[in-house]
Amino acid sequence: MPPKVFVTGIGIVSAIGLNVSENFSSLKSLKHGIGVLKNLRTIHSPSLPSGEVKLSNSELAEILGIRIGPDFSRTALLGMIAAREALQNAGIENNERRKMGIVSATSVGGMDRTELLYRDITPENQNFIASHVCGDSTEKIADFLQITDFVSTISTACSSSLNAIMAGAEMIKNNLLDRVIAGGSDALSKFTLNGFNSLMILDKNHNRPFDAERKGLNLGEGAAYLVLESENAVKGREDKICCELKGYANANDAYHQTASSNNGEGAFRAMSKAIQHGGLNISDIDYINAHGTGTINNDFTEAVALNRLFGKDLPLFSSTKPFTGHTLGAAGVIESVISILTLRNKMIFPNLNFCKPILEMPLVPVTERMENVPIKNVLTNSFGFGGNDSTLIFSAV
Amino acid sequence: MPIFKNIYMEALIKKLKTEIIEILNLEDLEIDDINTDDPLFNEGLGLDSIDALELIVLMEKEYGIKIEDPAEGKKIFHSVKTMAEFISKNQ
Amino acid sequence: MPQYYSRKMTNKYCITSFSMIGKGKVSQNGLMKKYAYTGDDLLYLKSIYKSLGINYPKFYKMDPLCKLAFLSGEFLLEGIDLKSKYDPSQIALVFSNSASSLFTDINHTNTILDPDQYFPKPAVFVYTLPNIMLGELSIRHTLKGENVFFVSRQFDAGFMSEYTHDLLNTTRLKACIVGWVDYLDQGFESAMFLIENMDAAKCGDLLSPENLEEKIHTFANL
Repeated sequence: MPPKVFVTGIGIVSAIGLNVSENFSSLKSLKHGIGVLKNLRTIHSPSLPSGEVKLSNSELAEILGIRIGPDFSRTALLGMIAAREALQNAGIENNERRKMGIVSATSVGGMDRTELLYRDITPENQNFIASHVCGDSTEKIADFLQITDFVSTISTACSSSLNAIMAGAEMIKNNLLDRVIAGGSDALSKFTLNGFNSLMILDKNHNRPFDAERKGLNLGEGAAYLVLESENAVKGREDKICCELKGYANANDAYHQTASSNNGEGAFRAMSKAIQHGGLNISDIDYINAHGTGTINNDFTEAVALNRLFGKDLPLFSSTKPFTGHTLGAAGVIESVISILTLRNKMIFPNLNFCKPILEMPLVPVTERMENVPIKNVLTNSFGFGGNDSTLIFSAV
Repeated sequence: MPIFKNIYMEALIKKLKTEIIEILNLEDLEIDDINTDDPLFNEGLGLDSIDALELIVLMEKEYGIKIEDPAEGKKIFHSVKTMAEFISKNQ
Repeated sequence: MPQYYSRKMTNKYCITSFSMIGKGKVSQNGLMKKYAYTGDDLLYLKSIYKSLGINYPKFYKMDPLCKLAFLSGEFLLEGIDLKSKYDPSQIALVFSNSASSLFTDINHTNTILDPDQYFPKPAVFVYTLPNIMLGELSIRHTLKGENVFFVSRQFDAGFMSEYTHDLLNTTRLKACIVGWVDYLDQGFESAMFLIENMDAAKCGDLLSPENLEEKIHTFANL
């Protein structure tokens, strides 16, 4: 019998807070983090609202208590802060961390440094080149937290960090590791801002998922990590158990590089397989944290998939991207942390900016904060370019 | 005068077909393979949403016409003919 | 290497097909075919595509990394009818590379450098992710199972075979394509393996780190 996988620690840094407590506080008071770009200097600053972490790289380094050179990308810095919090949260002592692995996800890696420096490479700054690759942020985090047993990086667009959590869980279930810190990090960059702008899927105003008048997404940045442990590794520290990673699944939509199929096939498969994997029924899901980016295509196809799977028994659902923005590679794990906060506090955070349902598939998300909601199982979706669709289910213990 | 307009439109249509083939990487196609009045999307050349965005970039880069709403593009890019008519109206 | 890589895996999974592409050479299940390489990667990939005699115009829209993956997939699955054996959701893709999508990332960056010549191309941007090749393969061969993409300095035969083995052993997946597809303008290489659940008696090549590495080395030394 494969062991159960528990979450014993969470850490997060996003546009709405530098740690779990701040993020929860913002969610609770409906304070979102979308606004004019201040840290990233681009011609698009005034016109493309985004979810920036409200600190510069040197301020992030100060929080970490380290001195940084050109080879420290923002992605690595955000990741280090969130990963450290997760480990502290889990109460794992320094010398115990040796038997642990890290699986981290990113889509942009060290691009924030590269795009600034590569036209002007000097002997003093050239070490930024080594920090460009996806694996560097993972290695920086691993070094910072002294994790050496297993270090791996996943890059599958917007579903990356859910896939990192799944890969970590699989390694625990197959007795390859007892503990894994899994999650991801992505910093804002001109590369992604301009790229998404060329796809014409950015909203010049605040994003409004599942709304009939939705115009697109707002980009965001951030990082989050979960500490996953097998039921054996957790013995004696059961008070640290936050919830169980009950079920998960991934499927490919096999339709288009960036658009989802009209019948939401990939999303439907990922959600149904995850529920099946968790040994649950459709009626067991109490709340869904949707991918809900605010784009015409995603929200329609995700709504179709939700309707296909749940029909008239659709659970309460919302997208929290109006709070944080779409944090790309980190979206899955950031929203997992938010889902865990929902589970822990029996509180559902609303889908901001919703007015009217989508004409062709009229589903209505939660629009007010809800408290004292009996929640046992939360499902969260992240769907990435390349048709990579992932779903995770967290359960109260 | 109608004669000049025809010559102008013919030249524009030919130019557009060359540009479409180049920008959308339609390697195996020649200008004569693209029918001026045929739908470009779905049937016909089977172009997709990313191709539509590339055509929007083409409109701005080559013809100085900015299309703000991708949905508007659908009508304009229906066929090479509608594209040519749009350009000659808006330049 | 961490100790668990030497753990014994069950002998239930077979390498039933494999393909590799390098400069000037393509190998299909160990049989090598020569293709003239004159220094132009795009021309080289196009000539291989043409030699296959298939009609798939979307090939031309792909960036070089995806073209390489696509062609490797064609050689891997030639004559194999996956649809008749499996439901699309039963086939997984487990891939990795070292350069992610760096070549196309640079192309995209170049289109946004000059504020006076500012024309980012959406068709370039969509390829600035390494896992798009999984999407292209899935669309081409109707694959809807689990897929994952790792980034690592080198092909980690131990990890990739172990991960695949465990996936097939513990889930409803019945087949998996394992791939290493790497592209930069200094060099490229592609290796793909079809792994199926099969009776060991009928299997020529069991899934193991040694077998994967041996095939890659043989090809490299050709």
